[in-house]
Amino acid sequence: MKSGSREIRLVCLLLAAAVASACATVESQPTLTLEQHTLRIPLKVGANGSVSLAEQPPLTGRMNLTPILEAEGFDASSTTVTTVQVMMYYGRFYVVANGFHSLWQITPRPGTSTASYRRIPITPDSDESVLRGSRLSRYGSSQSSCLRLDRKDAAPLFINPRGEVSRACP
Amino acid sequence: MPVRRLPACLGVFLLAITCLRASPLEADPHELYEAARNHLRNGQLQSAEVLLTRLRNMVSRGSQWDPDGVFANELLPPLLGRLRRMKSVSLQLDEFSDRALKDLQPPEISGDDSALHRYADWAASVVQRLRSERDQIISAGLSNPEEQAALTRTASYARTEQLLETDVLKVIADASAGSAVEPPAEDPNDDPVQVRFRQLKQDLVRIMIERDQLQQRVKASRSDDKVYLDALVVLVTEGTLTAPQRNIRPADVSELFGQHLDREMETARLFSAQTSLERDARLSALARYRRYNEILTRARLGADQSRRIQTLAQMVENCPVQDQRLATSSATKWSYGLLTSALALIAGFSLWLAVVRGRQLSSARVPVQPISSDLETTLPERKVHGNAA
Repeated sequence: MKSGSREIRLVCLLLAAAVASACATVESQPTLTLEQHTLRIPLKVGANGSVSLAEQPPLTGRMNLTPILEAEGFDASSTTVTTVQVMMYYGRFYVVANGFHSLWQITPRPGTSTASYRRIPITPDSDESVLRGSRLSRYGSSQSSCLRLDRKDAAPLFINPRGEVSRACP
Repeated sequence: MPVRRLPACLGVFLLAITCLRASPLEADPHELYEAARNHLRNGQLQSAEVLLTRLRNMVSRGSQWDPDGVFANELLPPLLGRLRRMKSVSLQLDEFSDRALKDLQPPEISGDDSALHRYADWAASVVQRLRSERDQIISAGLSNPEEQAALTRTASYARTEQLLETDVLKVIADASAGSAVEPPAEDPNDDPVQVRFRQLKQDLVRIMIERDQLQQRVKASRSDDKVYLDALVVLVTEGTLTAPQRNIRPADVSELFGQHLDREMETARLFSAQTSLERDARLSALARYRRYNEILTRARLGADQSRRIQTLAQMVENCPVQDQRLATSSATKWSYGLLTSALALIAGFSLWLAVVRGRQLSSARVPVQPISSDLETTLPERKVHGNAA
């Protein structure tokens, strides 16, 4: 008799727990479709190593490329690099210029005036270790597109939305 | 035979490889799009059309160069529309040029002197009419100012400009060459160029005379201005600056007036006291200075001197008046008393002397009166005898 009542209590407790967990609401933000891309944007590098996005309206703002220029071995104050190529691909900026060794990915931090950046190393196909005739464009299909990097005297490279480099766009 | 072909095949293969390696990158949609826009902007419609056709083929359905159809659906159609409109208007301009050139009929030429004027009037009216007609074609076909500006760089537009600037005049020249109008060039009086030259020369002489007259007037006006300014300076400085100033300007009047006020303030600082008469005189001078300053300021002859005048007025106000002390001092009273007594004594003595002298003169005048009447009666006799003595 006692064991039967214990079982009943246990069942009731389990039921109560199940009801409580069912009633608890999981807070989740709704989402919608958003794709942020731009065409290729050539920008002039200023004396302080920054570029102005307002050169190509409707974008506005500025981007200080001094850390990237220094990492590429340029003196930002002397502005050896006169122009860079910028392209937004899935909300991230990609920057490249002639004389660079890498492609650079810049990820904005929404609500701030800063962005994180990282190097995407490019393996040279030719004797030249630096990029020549570099050109960014979107490539692929609407379901799966890539960032295409054309280079002079070398096969194009493709960067997927995760920032991985490959020889072909899947 | 195959052995002979082998080097040639190898050479061709190596050349092909080299050409492939050295070939520049194939234009991608971005480049074609930008180049087409530039060509359209510069009015190069043929080149723009070629590039847009290439772009359309490149981003056709299924192309991986246009993943979301941005070029095909959003960027290309406006450019194609602009190209279509500009081509249409360009074609209309070509037709307009052909039609206008064919319809150009100069007026009948007569042998009188007014033929040249008639030609000029005709050409002006024709050019004006054609220009407005051309502008109307453009504004009707292209509403966007950017497209209108781009169209002005096309060959069709340049052809219309040539029509308006050259072709109309050329038609006139052709018509006049075949006409019977041959002015007698032997007589220089009838040569229109000579007549025009003489007219221009007369105009030039007249303009030079007018210029000289104006210069004289300006010079006289400047001289008058200097006289007025000198007089004004003498007035506002109360005559302390009588020497005329060199190259005086209107603004100098106020400056000299300010210097005069500074001198007045320096003088006022030296006074430890003033009489009521001196004070009244200085207050009166201050009132004058205020009027001068008001007039000069209103006439915009320099800076406002109100501050200096106010400072001078405070100095006059602060300077103590010592009229009463002077009147009540004992030394002054004694001096006044002595002076009054001396004056009274002198006056009494002078009066006594005058009375005594008057009596002496009156007693001496009694025998003199008949002599004076004699003189009056004997004068004719002297005349008769001619005795000058």
